[in-house]
Amino acid sequence: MKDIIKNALIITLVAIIGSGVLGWVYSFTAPEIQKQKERSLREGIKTIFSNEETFDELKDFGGKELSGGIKVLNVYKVKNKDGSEGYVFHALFPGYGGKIESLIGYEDDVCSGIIILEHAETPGLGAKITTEEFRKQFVNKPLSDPFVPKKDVVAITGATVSSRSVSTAIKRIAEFYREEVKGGR
Amino acid sequence: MEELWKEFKKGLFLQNPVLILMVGLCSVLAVSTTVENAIGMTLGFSFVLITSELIVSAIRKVIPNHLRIPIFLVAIAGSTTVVDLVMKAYSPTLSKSLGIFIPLIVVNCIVLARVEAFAYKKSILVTLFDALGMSVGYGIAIIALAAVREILGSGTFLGYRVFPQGFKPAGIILLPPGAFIILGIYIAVLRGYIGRKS
Amino acid sequence: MSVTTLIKIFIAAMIVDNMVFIRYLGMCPYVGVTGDMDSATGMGFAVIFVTTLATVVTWIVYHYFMTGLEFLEILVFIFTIASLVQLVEIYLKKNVPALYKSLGIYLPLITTNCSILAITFINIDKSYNFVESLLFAFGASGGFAIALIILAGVRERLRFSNVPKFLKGYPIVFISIGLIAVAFLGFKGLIK
Repeated sequence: MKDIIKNALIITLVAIIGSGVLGWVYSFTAPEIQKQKERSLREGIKTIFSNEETFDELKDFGGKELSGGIKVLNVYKVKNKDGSEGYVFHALFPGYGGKIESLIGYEDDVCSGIIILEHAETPGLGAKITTEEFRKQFVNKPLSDPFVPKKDVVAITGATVSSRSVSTAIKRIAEFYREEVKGGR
Repeated sequence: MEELWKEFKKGLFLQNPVLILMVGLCSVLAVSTTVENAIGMTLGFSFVLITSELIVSAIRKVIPNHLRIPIFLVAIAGSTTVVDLVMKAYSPTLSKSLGIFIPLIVVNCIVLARVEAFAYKKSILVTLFDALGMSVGYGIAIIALAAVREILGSGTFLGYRVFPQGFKPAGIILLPPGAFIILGIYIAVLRGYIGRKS
Repeated sequence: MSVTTLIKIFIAAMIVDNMVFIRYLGMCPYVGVTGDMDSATGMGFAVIFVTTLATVVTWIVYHYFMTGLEFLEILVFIFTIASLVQLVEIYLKKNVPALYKSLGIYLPLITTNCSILAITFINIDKSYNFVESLLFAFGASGGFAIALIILAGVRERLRFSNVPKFLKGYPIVFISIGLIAVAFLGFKGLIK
């Protein structure tokens, strides 16, 4: 019995020393990690709203699940240098090979653009959703459009599912955006 | 000095951890899609191997035998966490590309095997050279594999185009089958080379 | 958390994102144990058991005891798995000695089976709730077991075929794994 207690104490002591060292490393890496996250978010938002001045997170609208497995993770309100305002939605939605994580911008009644943060689409096919060529068709696209590949959206050859996932996500989130924006936010 | 150099050299080819001892394979296969990732992985891995071996070797006289595995784990998990945190803070793109394989260094069989078989029994100086040799050997294997996969699979090397524009790379090399098959060939080549020498 | 989502998670974990053929996890014990069918099946069951158990414990520990201490994840999880394996070993030694004998050195090998630790990490990474985590763990470890059995079968055949001397031994094993991986790639479109 005494042996077990002695062993347990030694292990606990070692574990505490280990955790202590890690806690110390964490104390100076944590703020850096936080800064990195903010930096990449800011970069993403700037790609959509190049005139961006400041942005704020609208905490009430984050973490919402829409139909079709689309998750709105965060919503940001963006103030541009010329005084106009836009909204950026950090969203996660199902694609062909897995979930697609993206930032989608909306301003007034148009989509301001989309950038793909992470995806698991097929290299050379669905992965082309990250290209400028595919994404630029969504910039200033009226939200009243159907957003259907082969109709008003040019699909990627051989990657109809990936193209549709993106288009549908933009359209669905647009509905959420209109509800929320015109719902007197 | 001669002895130390021998300890270092064995990790490179004769006892190459990946191709001869056949340990630590998961990360080698998964991360070898680009040379840049392979280099990053080697650095992270080397830090954990060298630090863990040194720590264990330094305190080996005070570690009670029946408690050695948990204590090894604290040292290894600790150094792995340090690599994970530092990478997330200062190289977030690399951290993202290497993904889950950085935290998985803690169960990289090479580390636990070397710590148990070597660091626990030998002096700090000898252990250091063993760790260095094994790290370089690991690096050689993973970077060599990544070189082939990146050049043939994406047509680039370290991000720079290697082949003329018209070249269509074989995507499957970047997918699991490519990794497994090319690794198999490398093992055959190294073993054949060693066999012929002896 | 509909039933369809749960089924999707399970099938994806077992086949579409198979631990061995797609995610490259658990390689060390994988090549070590597939020499014969008995070891392979034994290891398969052991992995399913330990993984499910480890998922339960690590999920609870992470979500109830580790708020603010997330940086200790690697340390806590590997400790949990190592302890669980020890306990399983002690239990088997006492109560099912035959199984203990046949699994022999493979039991401690399970601790370094990166697939088990990876599964516990992925559950946290993907923010799965308890039920989703269990299904993922069960599916993923089941997929690992299936992979074990497939390769053991292939290797038993390989023993009686004419392999060029250059490729005898591990080289041909890896090439075989690569070819099986091609088949698994075909499952990619299975789940939307």
